[in-house]
Amino acid sequence: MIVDRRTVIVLLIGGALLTGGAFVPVPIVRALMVLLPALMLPGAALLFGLGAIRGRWDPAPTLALCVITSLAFYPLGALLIYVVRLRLTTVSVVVEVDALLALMLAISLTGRKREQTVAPLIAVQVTDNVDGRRWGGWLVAVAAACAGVLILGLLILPKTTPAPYTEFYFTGSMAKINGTVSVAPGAQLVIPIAVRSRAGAETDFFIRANLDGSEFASDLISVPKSGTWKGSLKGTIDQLGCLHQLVINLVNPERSSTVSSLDLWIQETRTGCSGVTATSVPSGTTP
Amino acid sequence: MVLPAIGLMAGTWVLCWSFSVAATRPPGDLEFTLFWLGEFIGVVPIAVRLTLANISRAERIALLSAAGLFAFIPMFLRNPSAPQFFDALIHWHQAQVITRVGHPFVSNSLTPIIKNYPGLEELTASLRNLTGLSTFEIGTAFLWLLHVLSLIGIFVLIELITKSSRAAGLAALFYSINPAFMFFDSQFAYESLAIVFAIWVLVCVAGMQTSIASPHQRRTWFVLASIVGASCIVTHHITTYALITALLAVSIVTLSFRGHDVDAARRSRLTLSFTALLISGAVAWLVFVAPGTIAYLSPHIAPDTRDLLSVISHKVAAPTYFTSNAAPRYEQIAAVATIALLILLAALAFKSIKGLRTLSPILIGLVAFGMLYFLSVPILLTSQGEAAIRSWGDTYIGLAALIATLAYFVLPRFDRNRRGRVGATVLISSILVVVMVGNVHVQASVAYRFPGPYVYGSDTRSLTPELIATADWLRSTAGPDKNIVADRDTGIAIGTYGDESVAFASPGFPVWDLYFSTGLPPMRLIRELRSSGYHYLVVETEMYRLLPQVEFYFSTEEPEYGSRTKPPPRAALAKFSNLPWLTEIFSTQHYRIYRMDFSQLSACPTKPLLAASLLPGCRSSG
Repeated sequence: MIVDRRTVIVLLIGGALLTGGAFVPVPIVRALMVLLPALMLPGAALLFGLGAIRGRWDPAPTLALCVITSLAFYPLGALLIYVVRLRLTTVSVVVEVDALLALMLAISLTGRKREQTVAPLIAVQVTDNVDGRRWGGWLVAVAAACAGVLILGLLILPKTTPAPYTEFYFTGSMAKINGTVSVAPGAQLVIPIAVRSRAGAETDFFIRANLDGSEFASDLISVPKSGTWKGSLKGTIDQLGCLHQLVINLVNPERSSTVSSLDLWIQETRTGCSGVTATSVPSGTTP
Repeated sequence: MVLPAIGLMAGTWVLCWSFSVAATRPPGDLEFTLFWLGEFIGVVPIAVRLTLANISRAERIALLSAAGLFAFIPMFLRNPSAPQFFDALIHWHQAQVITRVGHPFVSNSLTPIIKNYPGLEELTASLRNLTGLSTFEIGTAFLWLLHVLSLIGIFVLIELITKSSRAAGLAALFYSINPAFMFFDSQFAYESLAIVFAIWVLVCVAGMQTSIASPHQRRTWFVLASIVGASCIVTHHITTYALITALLAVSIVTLSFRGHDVDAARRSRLTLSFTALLISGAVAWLVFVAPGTIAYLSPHIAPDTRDLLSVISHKVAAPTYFTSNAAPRYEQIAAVATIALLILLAALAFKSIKGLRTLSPILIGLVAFGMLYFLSVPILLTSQGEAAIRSWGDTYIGLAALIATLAYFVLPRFDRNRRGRVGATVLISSILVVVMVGNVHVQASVAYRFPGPYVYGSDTRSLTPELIATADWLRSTAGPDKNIVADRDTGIAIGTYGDESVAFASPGFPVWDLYFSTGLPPMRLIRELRSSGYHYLVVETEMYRLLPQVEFYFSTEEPEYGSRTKPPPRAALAKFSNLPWLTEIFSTQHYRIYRMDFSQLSACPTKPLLAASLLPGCRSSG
């Protein structure tokens, strides 16, 4: 009976920690308060309600059973929440665990009168009396020591360095372009672009834009170490034809090699060039 | 007490060292040597202690818990800060989405079947809602925990059956070296959780069958088995079916061996009732919630007999589970030796059993279930070999029961003198070492096990910061949940980090035609892409230089799967830059994102750079 009362108190404390802790705004405090009750409480409540942890129960297997039952409870609880058309939120999960706790306590208190002499599901073995605590302590100490070694290893042993790379892209509304860009004859075209470098040092690039193979614009830029350069290319379309291809190359000036490129299809809006639907951003504007 | 502790700490350090070597030096043998050294330093002292007859039950449980924690270290070192394995990434993303939307049945473009098995994600979302921790933190915490729970589960299961904590300890340690335990079942995926549920359902059934249990205790075990079994059903299909197979074996044996004992008949009825309940639940879930499971599993379950015959008649080469060039030769030898050793151990176990009727029905049922391992071995020679290896995570529960039987009957004979005890320890440790090396080699490819240089189409080593940045840019620019066309390698990042919906390639929706062909894709595909609202195409240029390690670019249904000898032609890549319906809006050294505008299909550039066959608009105009 004493053990029962003690278990009820432990369950209620667990419930209070879980219910209160889940709404604590400080993340670390919330995690520390809630993690253990979250992993133990539903299972412990179920085992208690079923009369499985009365008397002298075997700690390690019973605690393992308690955790596995908790882990099994959450998916079923979440399905129940879905069936009653609620969303899975902090409130609904806390209510579900608290409801289970209340139900199991009620079942246990009403059922106790009928079955006073129920033995635990997994009873403690005689040989484990003292040894259990000693080896439990051993496990905690070894786990902590190994965790320390692991953290030390991760901190001081050499790690891989990610290969550097460069992102080259349109920005603003040009990045969301759908189809061609419509340009009136003689209007200036402004193309906003960006270069993001993931290299360990400042890097220079040439930006060379060719319209149908002829030079359209060029620029030499400097991208800071692990930083982003943003700018725009400007030029006027003065080629013959209706649908032009603008290819913008990002060139490594030391190796004269193209690192990456972008392209853009430009539809002139003059008479005789209306064969294709152009869904585009307005020309001559900086998005 | 001291030696296993020192072994675990030293083993942890050597494992850290091996992963550091793999990450920072060119591939070689050193990382493998250090890896196995670390594993042996950690595990062998535990095996030695567990072999002894005179240690306490509490020590055995503590040692097994430590072994469970230690077994997760390689996986932790492989992914210390973010998920990297293909399945883990998909489940991680699915859990994020379920947490965000607040309900369990969310479509997944990368692996559609996981929508119907939301157990892992519901658990993660619930714990996230309670603790405020991230999906990755929650996943890592409970994967450590699941490793311990599975070994304690096997221990309790075998102890309930044999009443021997020594046999139980060795069986659990044996289970910890199954092929899936170190990597596959250590990833954040539905099977990793379901397998532990399955083990504990068996524990509950063993509890129901225990002769000393009172009717109330049996009812309690029944209720617990039902709760854990129901969660197994909603978590993973194959594990549920494997559990049903194991329970059917146990039920049949229980029914056959019940005799005239009234209590045995009662126990038998309870076991049968529970098996029937679990089958009903699994069938109901399959019919009403997850009918797509059959179509998903059938190509994997029905191994092609012609495959097997072709390998036997040397028409095609066997898959490379035993002959991977990247791993040391001793691992390959150990992989073959493991199967031979297990056959030998099974034969020895059967020889040592004195009369089947002296054994518990559940033990016989589990051993019979374990024998499926040997039936699955020939499947390794077919294209479905991976499915066979995946089944070993389940059948090893039965093999653990077999090992327990062997330990129960044979080990006491070695206890008579010191020479015998030392001999038993050396023998068990040696078997453990060989089986551990062989099993890890067969299950986890080198690219999965170790960090290292980029490997195209390897899932783990092709997930680079450059690819993740590409996925991030697409999400921030186009927004989430957009329909995207991508190959498998880029699709995994686009669909998870990028939060997008990636086209599921199939013969009915052959998006590979866009990538493989130097010509225009079929109009049927273009019409489907257009009507389904696909506006972005992601290309990895390495596709045109390298063959993928997984042997396919999109899916196993693509043309030339498994037989491709060279990558698609570079002209297929070059066409993307000059088609007027594609605009290259983002590029890095290896990745390109194109905006597709199908209204420009019939456009003709002023200076066409492609053949007229690719520019229908130019054909009609001139």
